Amino acid sequence: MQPEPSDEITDLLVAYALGVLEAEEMQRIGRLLDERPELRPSLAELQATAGLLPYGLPLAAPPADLRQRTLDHAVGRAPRAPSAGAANAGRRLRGWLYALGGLAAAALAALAFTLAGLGSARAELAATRERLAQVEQQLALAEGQLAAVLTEQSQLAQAVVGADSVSALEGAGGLATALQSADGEVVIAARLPPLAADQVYQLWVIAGQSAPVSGGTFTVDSEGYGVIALGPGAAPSGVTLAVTAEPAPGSPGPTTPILVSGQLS
Amino acid sequence: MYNVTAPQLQPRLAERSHRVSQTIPTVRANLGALRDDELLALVARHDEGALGVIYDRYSGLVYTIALRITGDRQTAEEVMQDVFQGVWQTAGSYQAGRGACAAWLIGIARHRAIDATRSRRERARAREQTIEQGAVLETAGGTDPELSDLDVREAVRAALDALPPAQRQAVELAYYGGLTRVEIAERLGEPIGTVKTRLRLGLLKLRDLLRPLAE
Repeated sequence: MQPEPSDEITDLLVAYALGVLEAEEMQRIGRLLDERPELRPSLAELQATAGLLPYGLPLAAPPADLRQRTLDHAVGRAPRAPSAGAANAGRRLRGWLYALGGLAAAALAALAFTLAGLGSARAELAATRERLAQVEQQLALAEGQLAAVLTEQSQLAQAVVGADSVSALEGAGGLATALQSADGEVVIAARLPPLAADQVYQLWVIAGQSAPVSGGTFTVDSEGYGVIALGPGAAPSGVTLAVTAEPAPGSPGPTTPILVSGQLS
Repeated sequence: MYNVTAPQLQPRLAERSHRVSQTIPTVRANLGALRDDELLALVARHDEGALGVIYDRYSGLVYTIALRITGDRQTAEEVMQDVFQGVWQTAGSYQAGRGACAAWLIGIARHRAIDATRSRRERARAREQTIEQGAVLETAGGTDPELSDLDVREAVRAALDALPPAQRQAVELAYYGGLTRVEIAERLGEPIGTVKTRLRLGLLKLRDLLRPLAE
């Protein structure tokens, strides 16, 4: 074992190991280690000791949904997702909505989640706007999304209240519900996997043996919920609705396998 | 453009679904048996499954550090996302060493969390220190791999409890607060010399008590 260095040098090593050195002292310790390499094992031991400190903390469990948000952000599939606090509010609302029972409630829950996610994203953007000029662009985008969702909310609420029939869209890639109003308007609420940044989901309307016709594109929030509406007459009873993931801003025809599909009753 | 109908696509969909469902459990089981350094080598090749296993192993530790330093769940979650993004982007620079993955992650988590709580001016200094210390942290040893996490936790808690309260306070303020010694002295209303002494005696005592844990 090396003899203990002087108190002054040990002070420096300790401060370095704990990461509390002032900038000017960083240069000093760099020179010191070059001149006295025998100090390096002592420093490494102090660093290893400091690195053990977190094991003394009471272990906190991260929220379960943080895993997917973290992986999505890490691999570049999604921006840093809203905090669990906002999502929890959405979850409580979703529970209340599910208590209403039925597919219509599920569709409204999807909307609640969409709104919770975007509301949080907007709040986060507002907080960071003062610090980063580039956030201005993100804010404009978020506000656009919010406006779009508010429109969807109106469409969905109208469709749920006046839903004349409900059809399920099924498949291994997710699930969706189509709500058809008496006047022929159709709102589809879907839960699908997260999209890559350069992809959108595209709804296809397939009448009999005809080629699929695009019903529009949509995206999903961090929880995978998305909503799209078709105007009266765009999807009459008996047609097949299908959803695929397509390169943004959409494709003239499906280029990837169908994720969910079903026939409108 | 495809000219196909949904019913014609259903067999393809079913086949793909079956193939994926057969493969995923096997791959996941194999990943779970890998050592940390093997997983990080896969992460360096952008294997998301490997990153997921690293997350499963260390998310509790990283989140605990982030929450302790930031004191705020929302910020801690943001730090978590940044830490694992950092792992994804820099796993190639990780130098394998037995038990060192935890030390590497702890270093990243601590600096990201402190960074998240500092002003912009202070962040610049923190980044300088992160760069300076990164190389040393990667080579700093971890704990004896024969010891369980529970053993390590109990030993560290006992060692911290054995410190005089003033030394423990100084060490924890330095490590979790990201404060310089001058700032700690101002915070505590104590002379800088007193703070230096408390930090030195505290960390040396911890080193001596925890030496059996080292590899």
